[in-house]
Amino acid sequence: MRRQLRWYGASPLHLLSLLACFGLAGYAADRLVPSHPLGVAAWFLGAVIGHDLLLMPLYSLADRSAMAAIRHRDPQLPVTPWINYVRVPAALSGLLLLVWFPLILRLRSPYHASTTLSADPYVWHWLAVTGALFLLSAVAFAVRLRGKPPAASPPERPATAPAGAVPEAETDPGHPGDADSGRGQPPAVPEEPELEDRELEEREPGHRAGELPPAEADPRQDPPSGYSPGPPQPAAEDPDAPGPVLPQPAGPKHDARPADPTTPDTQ
Amino acid sequence: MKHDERPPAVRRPPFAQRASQGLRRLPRPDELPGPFRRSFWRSPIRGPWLTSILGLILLAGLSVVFVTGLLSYAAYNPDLNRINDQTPGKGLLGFYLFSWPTHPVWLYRLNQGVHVTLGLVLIPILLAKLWSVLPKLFEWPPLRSPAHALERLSLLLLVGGVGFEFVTGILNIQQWYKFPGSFYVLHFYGAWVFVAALVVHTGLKSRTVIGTLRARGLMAMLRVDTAHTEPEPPDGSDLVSPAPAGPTISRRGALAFAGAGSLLMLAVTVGQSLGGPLRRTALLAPHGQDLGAGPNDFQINQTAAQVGIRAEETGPGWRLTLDRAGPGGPAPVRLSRAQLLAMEQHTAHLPIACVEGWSTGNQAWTGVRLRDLARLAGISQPASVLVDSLEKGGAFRHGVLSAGQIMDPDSLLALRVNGADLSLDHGYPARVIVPANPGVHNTKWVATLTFAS
Repeated sequence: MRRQLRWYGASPLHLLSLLACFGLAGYAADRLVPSHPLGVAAWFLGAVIGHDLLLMPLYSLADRSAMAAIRHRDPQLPVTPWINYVRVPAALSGLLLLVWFPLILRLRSPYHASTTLSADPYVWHWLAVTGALFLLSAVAFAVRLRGKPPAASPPERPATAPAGAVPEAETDPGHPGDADSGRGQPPAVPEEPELEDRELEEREPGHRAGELPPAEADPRQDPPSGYSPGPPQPAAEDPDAPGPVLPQPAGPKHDARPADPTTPDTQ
Repeated sequence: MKHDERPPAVRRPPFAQRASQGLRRLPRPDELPGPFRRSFWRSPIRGPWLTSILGLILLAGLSVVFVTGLLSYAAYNPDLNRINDQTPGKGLLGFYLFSWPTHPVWLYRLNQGVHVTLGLVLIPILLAKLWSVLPKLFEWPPLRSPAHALERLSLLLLVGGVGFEFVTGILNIQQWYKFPGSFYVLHFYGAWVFVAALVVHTGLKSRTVIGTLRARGLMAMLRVDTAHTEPEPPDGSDLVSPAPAGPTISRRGALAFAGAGSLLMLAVTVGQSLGGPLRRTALLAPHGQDLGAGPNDFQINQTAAQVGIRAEETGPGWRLTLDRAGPGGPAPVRLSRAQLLAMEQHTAHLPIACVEGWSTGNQAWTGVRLRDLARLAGISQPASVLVDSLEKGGAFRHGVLSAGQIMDPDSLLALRVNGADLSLDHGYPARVIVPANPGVHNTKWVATLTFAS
């Protein structure tokens, strides 16, 4: 069944499935398109382009800008604990706007004429929900900061993480194609200044214990930077490879790590 | 994916040999700018596992949305009469149609509530899924073989189709009719284009999904926190970043993130389908506002003013005409509202449910049974009835009800609701109310009932 057709590049079943798909889709499209062929095609392609080439780059850029801004304001602040408390409420608020913008922005429509309802409250509802989301997020962050044990005790994961859970899937020693091979061995000075503090933290975990809440000083909670999709940096300049003190090795840096992944951190 | 693997160099198909000779003149992926370079994509959580989980959730959810969508079309009884059919060119795509039942009375309410609410709830999952596979859009070389080209074309139908369906649905429930043509036409045929692509995509990816979940497990990956989150081993799928950044969120965190979006969407929407005191919790849904506590203060989706009903048409001069289809027979019967009120009255507790997903709880409708009116028109075994409204235009100024709908004891020509006369916007002087019927077929401002035997 999996025998390949030489001229085609996949199995006959693959070809038949796709032809059946196009047959059915073509049958439906034949009925869909005639009324407004250009409009329908534009909306179909627009759905792809609008998401993949517009919405997605925009929210990725916003995400990266937020992380860069946080780092820029206070390089000592680790991004990871922070960013999700900004990222989640902002994204959820954006989601609501994305879906309900015709009502929220009171765009011209027969809505009032047909329902007798006013579209006026929606913008306020949206703002109120947005405010509540950020408030909840701030409260959750505050609770998390307060709930941290004193610096002397071993770092603890949030309640959702079962203590001692060791991800067996992650102990895979070989990442054959890992382009970052060997770069976990730190150059003395990182290439990107904005990352300097983070790199130092990773190499000297106790480094700022007196200045930061222990959670933030915990390198396991403080992976360096970056979030997909990154800037077009060549892999070879990537300073983001996990540092050697991370308890879970990533690829070839393995040998530089403690052999036992459950070994407690130097903290 | 087996078919995604490049064939071994020793026995490459002729096409691939020619293609690779041609492609030698093309830049290699690492020479390309921006997103075509694999190392551009740096999230450590992108990979077959996350995509598989999101894909499975979407597959289950979208199957329900598709089936409820098909049922919604069947609920209009499009095969009964062309008047009922918003997509009369459906051809083979109407293969499954059946006569829509009248019980349970909440059938259409449930069906539409699930269709619309679940569709909205799946939006965050869909966005997460699209995010997880975005590097695939920038595959290089863009076309490797005829198989690869056809598969990418099917992905265009898949992504374009799902976007088209979601956007038309989302805009329609807010009555922002900017799409090119009739919502029914676009949403129905668009669904078939999308589902054709979804079925083949599911088939082609099933081995990847099963293999990935077998290899990595579900719970094992869910136990990994952010600090321990690492990329999956490269699998040739273009999803795993060769230059991953440090994790800022775990895979379970990403799933929880999308799940939180779904829960939020549910919370600000579902009240418009549950009704009662919960309606006001639907902060962003189009029918999340209460109209008041009076007998006629339940949701409306078409006002008398909007369809040009004039006061004199609904005043004392209004008459209901009972006619029978076809030539010959007795003259039509004409009844005033007082005469209708003098007939045997029945009360039925039925909801109003709209194709847009919102609905009301049961209202107490009082009026004359449709089957009694059929008998009065001289037909004891009606096959159907054409209901004509005072409305001047619009696709739903008239509708045809089936024999089963006419003969149901709860099917009424309602004159009163919740103990009061119908308000003008609810169809005064008289409206049809039939159990489990789509709202637009519960015709308001009825002028004529034409029974066929």
